[in-house]
Amino acid sequence: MSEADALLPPNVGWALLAAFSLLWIGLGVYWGRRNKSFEDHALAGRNIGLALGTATAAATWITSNTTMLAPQFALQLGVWGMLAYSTASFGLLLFAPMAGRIRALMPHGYTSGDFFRLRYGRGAWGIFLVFTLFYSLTWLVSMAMAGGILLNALSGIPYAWGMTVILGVCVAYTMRGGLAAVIGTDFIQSLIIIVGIVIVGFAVLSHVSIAEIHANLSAERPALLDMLFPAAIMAIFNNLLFGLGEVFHNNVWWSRAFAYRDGVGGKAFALGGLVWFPVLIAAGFIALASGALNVAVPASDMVGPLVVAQVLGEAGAVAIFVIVFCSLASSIDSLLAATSDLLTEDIYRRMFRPAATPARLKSMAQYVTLALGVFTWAVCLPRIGTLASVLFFAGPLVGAMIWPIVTGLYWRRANSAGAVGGMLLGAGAGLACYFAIGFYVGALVATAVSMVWVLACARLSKSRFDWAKLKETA
Amino acid sequence: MQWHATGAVTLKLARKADFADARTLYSGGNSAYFLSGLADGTYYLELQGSGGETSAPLKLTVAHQSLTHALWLAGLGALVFLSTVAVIFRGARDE
Repeated sequence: MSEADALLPPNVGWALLAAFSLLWIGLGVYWGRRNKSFEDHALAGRNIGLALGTATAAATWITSNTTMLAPQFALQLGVWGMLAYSTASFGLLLFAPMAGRIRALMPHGYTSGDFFRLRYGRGAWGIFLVFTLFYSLTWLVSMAMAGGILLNALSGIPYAWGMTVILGVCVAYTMRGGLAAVIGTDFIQSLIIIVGIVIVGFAVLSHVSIAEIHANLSAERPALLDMLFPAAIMAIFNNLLFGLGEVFHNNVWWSRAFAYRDGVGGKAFALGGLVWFPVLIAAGFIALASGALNVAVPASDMVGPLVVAQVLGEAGAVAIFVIVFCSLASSIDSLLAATSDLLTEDIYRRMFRPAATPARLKSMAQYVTLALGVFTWAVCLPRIGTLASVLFFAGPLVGAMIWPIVTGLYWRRANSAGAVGGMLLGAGAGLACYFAIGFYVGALVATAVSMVWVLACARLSKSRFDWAKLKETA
Repeated sequence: MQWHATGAVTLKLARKADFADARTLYSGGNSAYFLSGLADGTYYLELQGSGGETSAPLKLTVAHQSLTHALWLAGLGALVFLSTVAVIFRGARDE
């Protein structure tokens, strides 16, 4: 998109980018000043309360995909597509009881990798690391790319510069402040996003009525209102299970379960899920209103910004710029922190330096954050791939991990053969269907195949796991 | 839909090949339009330049996936999801 087509002049975009960059870096330095050890850096001293805990759960889950892909889903798959995307909130709602269980079983744990290593052994741990690193890096790359593309579309800032600034800012404050900075900035970012989306939703409704939207869709895009739209029906549970797999396995969420104060995790994740659900409905609704508002949409992932700019003019363009920047930063920082902790704890400490001091581990986590940032930047620079397709490729991998995790947390008879087979068979079958049928069945098939294998292995198992093995101290 | 054109264009969609029932989807200077939500059937698309020149019509056939197939997959998804919920809320009964 050229500067002439952008919704904001580049100088306004640069001014907004500079102001928010300085704010996030300043706050990161301020919140990071008390971090002395790896535990302070990676888990914010295991002392996060309910307000910050809820905000970070909601903000981390509100990504560029929420603000861009949710409207895209609604425009492609209609009302069911909008609901299908909002089912990802079930990931947070169901992780709520699991967070309490994780904290009770692993009071000294650091990462989701610790769980796989202690619960299922090194074979399952290795597969988990491959799957989760693929997913995390894919998510990170897709968001950094989305940052560059969206800032370019919104304000004409060149892709490479926008992507570099967003990534650089997140790396800077995450390196300096660790999880405390990530959670603190998430709190402010979540308030900005939620207030912004509510204002946008009401603004859209003040310009066009529900009846007009319905009449327009009935005449011009009837399949979007069809309750029996096949692709949308397929997408509902696929998206739901994809969301479950993302939350259940990833260290972004496990690190928060370890970081929350005792008794906070369950409530924080449940409230975070409830906050997230209506955001998605509002984002999807904006897309369905595009026809009635006479907004021409050249690319489906730009429908959200275009509708907002049409309804609110330059003020709307500024609002969507800030919302997009906040939603990207709140997820990129979390992924950088959680992935660097995973690499530091599971690979550096567990494989190479078991006797590393807490201060040494903290510095290593900072270097790993920087390395992740440089890696992501190098992959993003050539601008390959699209927002949706890159991330959906990881769906079968995360879906295949749901049952090994859930049964591993609650069933003593769940075993390594079930976990290893479930992950490999599920991911293989899911990927095969992803390519043979479409992106909207990959996670569903992977979860189903994994479930059958895990259940069969648990049924035949004579072993009973000793929960005390999960209480490993550093 | 993507196209290359100099100046403004008008994109029209019709169910009949002679464009007797055509409706305008887009008018302006963009070079792409996202089209979705059409029912099963055959459609024709045509691009008209500001000077009146028109492109060759593009035939578009929409055929949605099988509903039976979709309902089976949704049923499987519901079973897997409800089983997952049951394991979590049943908790560690064999502890």
